[in-house]
Amino acid sequence: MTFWIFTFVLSLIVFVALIYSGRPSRPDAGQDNILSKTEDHFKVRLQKIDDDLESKKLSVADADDARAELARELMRHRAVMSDTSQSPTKNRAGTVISVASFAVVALAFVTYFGLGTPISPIADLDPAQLLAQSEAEIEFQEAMTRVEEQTRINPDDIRAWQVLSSAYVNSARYSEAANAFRHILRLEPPTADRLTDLAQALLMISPAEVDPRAIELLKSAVELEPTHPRSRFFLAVDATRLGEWDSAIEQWNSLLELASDDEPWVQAARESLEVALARGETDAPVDARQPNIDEDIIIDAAQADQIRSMVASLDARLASEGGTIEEWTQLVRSYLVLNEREMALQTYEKAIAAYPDVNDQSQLRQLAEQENLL
Amino acid sequence: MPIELGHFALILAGTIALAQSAVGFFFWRIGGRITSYLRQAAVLQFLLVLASFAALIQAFVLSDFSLKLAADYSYTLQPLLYKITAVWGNHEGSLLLWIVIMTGFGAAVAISGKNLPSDLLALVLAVQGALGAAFIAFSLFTSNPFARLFPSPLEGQDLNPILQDIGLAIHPPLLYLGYVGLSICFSFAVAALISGRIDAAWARWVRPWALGSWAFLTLGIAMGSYWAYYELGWGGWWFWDPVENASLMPWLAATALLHSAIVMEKRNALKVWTIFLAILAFSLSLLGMFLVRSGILTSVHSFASDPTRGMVILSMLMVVIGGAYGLFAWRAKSLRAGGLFAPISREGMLVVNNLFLATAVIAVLVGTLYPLVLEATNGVLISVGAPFFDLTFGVLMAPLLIIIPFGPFMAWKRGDFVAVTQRMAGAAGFTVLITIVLVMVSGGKISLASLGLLLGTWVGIGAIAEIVDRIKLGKVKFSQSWAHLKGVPRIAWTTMLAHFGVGIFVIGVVSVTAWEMEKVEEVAIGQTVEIAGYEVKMLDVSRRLEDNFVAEKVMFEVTSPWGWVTQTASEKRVYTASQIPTTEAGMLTYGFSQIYITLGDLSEDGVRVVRVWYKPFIILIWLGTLFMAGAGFLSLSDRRLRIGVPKSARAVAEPAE
Repeated sequence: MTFWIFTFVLSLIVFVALIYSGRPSRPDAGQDNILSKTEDHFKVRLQKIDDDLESKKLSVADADDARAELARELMRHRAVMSDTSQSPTKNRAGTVISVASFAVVALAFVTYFGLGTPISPIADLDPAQLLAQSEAEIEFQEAMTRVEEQTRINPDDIRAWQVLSSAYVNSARYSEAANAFRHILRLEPPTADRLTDLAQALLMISPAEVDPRAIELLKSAVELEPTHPRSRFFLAVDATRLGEWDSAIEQWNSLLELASDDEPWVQAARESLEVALARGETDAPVDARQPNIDEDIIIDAAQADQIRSMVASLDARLASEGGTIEEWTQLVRSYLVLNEREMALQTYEKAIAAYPDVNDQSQLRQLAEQENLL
Repeated sequence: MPIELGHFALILAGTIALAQSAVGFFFWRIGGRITSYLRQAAVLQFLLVLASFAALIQAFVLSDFSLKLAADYSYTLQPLLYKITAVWGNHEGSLLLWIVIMTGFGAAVAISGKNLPSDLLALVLAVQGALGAAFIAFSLFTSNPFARLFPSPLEGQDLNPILQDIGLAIHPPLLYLGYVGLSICFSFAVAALISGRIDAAWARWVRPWALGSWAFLTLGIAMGSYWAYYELGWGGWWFWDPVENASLMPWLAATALLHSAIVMEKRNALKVWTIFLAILAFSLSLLGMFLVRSGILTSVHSFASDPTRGMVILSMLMVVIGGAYGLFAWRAKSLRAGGLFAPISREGMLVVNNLFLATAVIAVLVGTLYPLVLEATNGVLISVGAPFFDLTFGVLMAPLLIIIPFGPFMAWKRGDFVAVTQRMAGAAGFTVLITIVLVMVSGGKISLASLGLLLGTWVGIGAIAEIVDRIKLGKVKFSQSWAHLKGVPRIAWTTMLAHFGVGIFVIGVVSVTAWEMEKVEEVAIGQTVEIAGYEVKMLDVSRRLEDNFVAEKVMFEVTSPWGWVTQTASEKRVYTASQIPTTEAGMLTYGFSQIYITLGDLSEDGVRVVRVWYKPFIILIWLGTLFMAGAGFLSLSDRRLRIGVPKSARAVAEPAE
């Protein structure tokens, strides 16, 4: 509504200003200045001819010619002006100005209705559409929105970026995840894990087409920490994908040397080594011959740990430093998203203790009710 | 809400422009109230477009990514300056900047046009209104800068790193001031054709606008050249890139217009030609816009390709050029020939100047468009590069440079060539002497470069000689010369400055083209590259972390032939959001020359490829253009030009040239 009030006021100002400009009582309105303005110029030119004559740039004969040219031009000009000054349309000026001013405003509104976006489409969403989403999803999105808002207010909030990065990966929003990992790298020194997180997100954006920047990041990760299994795993996958068999064999072997056999990725690494040893000609399943980075096993475990560590980090901070009721609510929601209802309940109780005033608790209680937490 | 208000303001400005155009074209003869209405409309139109541009800037500054444009071209961690410049670092925003400047010029005409005849002013504002309406419609319907994104992304995609430079804050606004300023000359030309008011007074009114546009265009092109020089890492100052050519063509036409307008104003001659040039200059600006925005070119200047936009601009180009020249042809028989003059006269010299400039426009136009036409018709890909332009453009410019100093010495209507030659003998002798010294300093070989130096020096010395001749230095007592000097009109100073600028520009171009040196070597820390007597030593390599990029910074120590030791840094940057790498050159200036260092790739054994250039007298190129543009602004400060006609009858007695 406020927007429409502003547009109406703006249009009114424009309309009044236009009408006002063409009112008959203006001092210079209705008095044509054409002749006098132009004749000033002829005087200047006449003076210039005299100046040039005086400074001997023109001979007397040339100066006479120039004056004669000027005189002829002035006479022609006066003749044209006397013709045009008798225009019968002068009386229509007021009507023209009124109609044009009205048309300006009317046409502007019509065009804006066609092109503008006065109200956010989110607010216009059909309630049925909203209900179609599961409640958990809505809760999760709300939580995301809040954390995103937090990063907008303070782009240096590393905790927020960490929470978001995991959430984005879980939601398969890999471009946004890559952005979040970039911010983490900006705010914290590069480590093998952080570089690999970003590389992994870049790879996931378009699994069919390996992003060379991701490979560079993985190489940097290995440079920083030569025994980092995750980055080495991806590099070995890339060598296998490219059919660089010697390099792949070497990389798979050295990766397997790092393993203690209970890691989830060991089986995939062995199968890939077989593929590389057979120079790609093997009876092993196609997926093993060209390991698909989209489904690698090590990622899930690493990500699950990462998400938990983020939530634990938030929990620890709220326990030690306290926080707003919104942050407590967000933590409860996070545990619910992770399906850790016991932890969610404990956090809920801590939050109620921290904010005993009933007025503060409404949002939290609403969440608990919706999730049947109590 | 500010975004939507900005959108509404732009639409309202568009409808005002439409009304301004319609009312102006149909009722221009009424004058009085109608002209007042049109003046008000032009001012309101500008204020509304300015408000919409401010809304766009606010969205970028606040990183409001619900604005699609901000999401596509901005990033939260960009420095504030680049958040603002990112507004016009893309097609949609730069088009709005173009419209801001265009409506700004329209408002300036409306405000300062009290001294213009009301019928002419009404028509000028009507044409400006039509242009404004066309451009605003183009913006709203094909390139809407206020398009929204819901839900809005958390982060933007960042501005192209090459554009994250102070150059983006300077080059496009200056260039647009030049391009769009020529729209005023165009509007005056069309208004003159419609009203039949084509006389010397018209030339007097249009000349300040041509002068201002020309000065801004000169600065815009020069700043673009310097930006490309230091940012792109190629060490070149002009590439004959089609888009560069597209800015050069209106500049050449505007230069010709400036000179022909002088003849028209002073002697009421060259009327048809001046009107033709006024239309041509703006048409060439639109052609430049078409080349940049249609997507038919691949260049650092070209914005995203979009055939729809290209077709719309092409249609606008056809309507503007076709309409204006159609009107020109229709009214041509009513255009009277003006004052007569002898071939050897100042008018004659200015006509020759115009012929060379117009032919140069044609040469550049052919070289720029021929490959495009050939590709469109036959699918054949060819490249027309520096050799073509050096031969055609260079050959045309050489005789023009020879005659430049003669012009100011010639009398109007009928000149005495022998007498003028005698008066210039001293300047000629001095020129030869200086050229001999310069050639000896540079190695003593006679070559094309020596001839180029001779020409540049001739133009520069010739420009000064005109003032020396005016004050009769050496012919009368010094005190008398001093008294004459104080009486030299400003227009003579501006002519001298502009022509002197051309001279030193030519010296800069010739020097750097003939005597530039380049070395490409693999260098490790502590090692040295020697070039032109300078020693460039790599000191160390470090990592620099900024908000939006990470840079590998290499420090160099440069020892000049005179033993001065200074340091500079070259960088290779990787921008956080886009992960695009860029190279930043290290530069050191010695007098008018520069040492220019860029980084190449790092080899496996830790040694880095380094390119080092020695650029003799390269600074003169941009210094020359600053002189030219400065002369334009100085000339604008002349009250008679600034306001069109004297304020009162008494001012008529003001000394003239």
